[in-house]
Amino acid sequence: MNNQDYVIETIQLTKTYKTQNAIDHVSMHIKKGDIYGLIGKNGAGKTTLIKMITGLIEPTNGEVKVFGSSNKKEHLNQLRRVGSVVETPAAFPNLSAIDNLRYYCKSFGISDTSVAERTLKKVGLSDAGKKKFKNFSLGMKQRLGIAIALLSQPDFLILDEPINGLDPIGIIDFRELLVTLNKEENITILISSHILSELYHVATCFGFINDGKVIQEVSKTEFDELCNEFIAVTLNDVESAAVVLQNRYPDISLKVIDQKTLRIFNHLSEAEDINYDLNHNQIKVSSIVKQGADLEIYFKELVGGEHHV
Amino acid sequence: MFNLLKAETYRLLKGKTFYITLACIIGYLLLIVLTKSVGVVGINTAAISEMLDTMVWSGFEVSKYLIRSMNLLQYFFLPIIVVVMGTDFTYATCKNTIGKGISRTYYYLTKLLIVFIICIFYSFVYIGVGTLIATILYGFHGTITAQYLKELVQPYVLQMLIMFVLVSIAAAILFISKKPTACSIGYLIVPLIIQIVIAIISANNMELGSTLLKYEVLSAMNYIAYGIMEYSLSHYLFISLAYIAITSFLGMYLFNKIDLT
Repeated sequence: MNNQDYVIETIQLTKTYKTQNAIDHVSMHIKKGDIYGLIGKNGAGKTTLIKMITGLIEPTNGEVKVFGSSNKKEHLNQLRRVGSVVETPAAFPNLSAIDNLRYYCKSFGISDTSVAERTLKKVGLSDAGKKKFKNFSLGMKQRLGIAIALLSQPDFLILDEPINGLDPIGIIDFRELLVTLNKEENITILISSHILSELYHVATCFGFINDGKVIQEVSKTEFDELCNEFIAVTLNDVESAAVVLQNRYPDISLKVIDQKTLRIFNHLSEAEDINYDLNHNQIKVSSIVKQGADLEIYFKELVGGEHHV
Repeated sequence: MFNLLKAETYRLLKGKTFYITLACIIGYLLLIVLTKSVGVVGINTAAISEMLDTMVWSGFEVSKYLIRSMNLLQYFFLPIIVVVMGTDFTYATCKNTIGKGISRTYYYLTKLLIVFIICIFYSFVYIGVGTLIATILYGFHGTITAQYLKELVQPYVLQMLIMFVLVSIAAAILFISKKPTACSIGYLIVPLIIQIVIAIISANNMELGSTLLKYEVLSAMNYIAYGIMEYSLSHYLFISLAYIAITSFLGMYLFNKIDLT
């Protein structure tokens, strides 16, 4: 892929605090038009990574390219095309939603006075009236944060844990907003979240981050292929079972999950035969069922360190 | 720079701090003019006391007195420093601006400039409104001559510059520490600390103490206001500007290095 097609590209990006690597040689790629779901546990380095992209934190080593920027000055210039909500949404507590937006319109040099009202409507905060930001619910704060990020009509939007605090209706509205922004306004989006089921609904590709390292980047199509159905077998001796099955089915694709569980990704229609073969070799099978992995299971296994046989 | 300047003015005029501070300044002016009470913030010498004792109450004399006593405005500047510069760190709103590609140097300089402009505005209110009230109550009783204007402009410029030194120190503390409390404490105690340190040094080494005093303008503000200047006007101008430049450069340099977490 041409480097110009990447909205964000990080090259061996590293952030070290004293002796600890908060971000460890991360090379991440976000293509134009993507909704990139950044998935990681608390403290995995998601926010630090986002802060380095937005210039809030200086990397210890490595490089961040925003729209192909090649130096710090260009990075700053290209950030004008980026809207971001990093950590909690920030606004002036004693100002109303519209006054906050007007402030940022002036800051960003937006002279069209109707932009603030239109953006407020877009995020569903038209009815906020004169209510001050300090009296907003967390959901309203999230919406205003997104509104501030959208004010300058960015080409790239960064949302750090934006679903936190939203009620179920708010989550649905938010999901629709993201899809609209992506499809109709061609905004590329980076979204980090703990709520993986929600992320699965909106993202077109995923980046998995753990202990400061991006351990995998996959498109949604690739992910769906990875998460095809499998046979989950619970038994008493995983290692012997793996040997038996590999001898019996040389092309078998299986994965040991823990000491009592393994998964088989092919021969899905032969569950009965597999059960028979295992029993025949004195391996006690407690259960054998057909399942499909979702984002949560996949992530858990990816960071859990299980090995694929 | 103009965009951020407009935005900050908008925010300031939407909030209460600007108006409360303005009301306090006007309230103080009314108090001194109506009760004919004058005083000095800082070190009072016999010469200064004599000038105050013989003061005639008229718009003409009050304007000169207000110029001489304007160093107390430094206390009215503090809330503005905290609101214009500190709020962005208290509520993390700086990440909206910095994250939008606005350079930290530009951000720092604009914030400093905004505070300077408001300080100048407050000083104009202090002198202008005070003189106006005194003129209404007691008449002007004077002629505006070149000498009169020199008596106003020279101490005004010098005192404002010295107060800007203080603002620059406070800004540097704030942008490095990201803590408005540290900035407020620094703003109030840095001049004291400097004076105490020089006093201690002077007690042990008179020559070194005198040399240090030559390059320390904060404690000289009170004397300068009354035209009691140990060194030349250009000396004070140069030292003040040098302080502003050095503290701002240092503040900007370190602010560019820190992580906005």
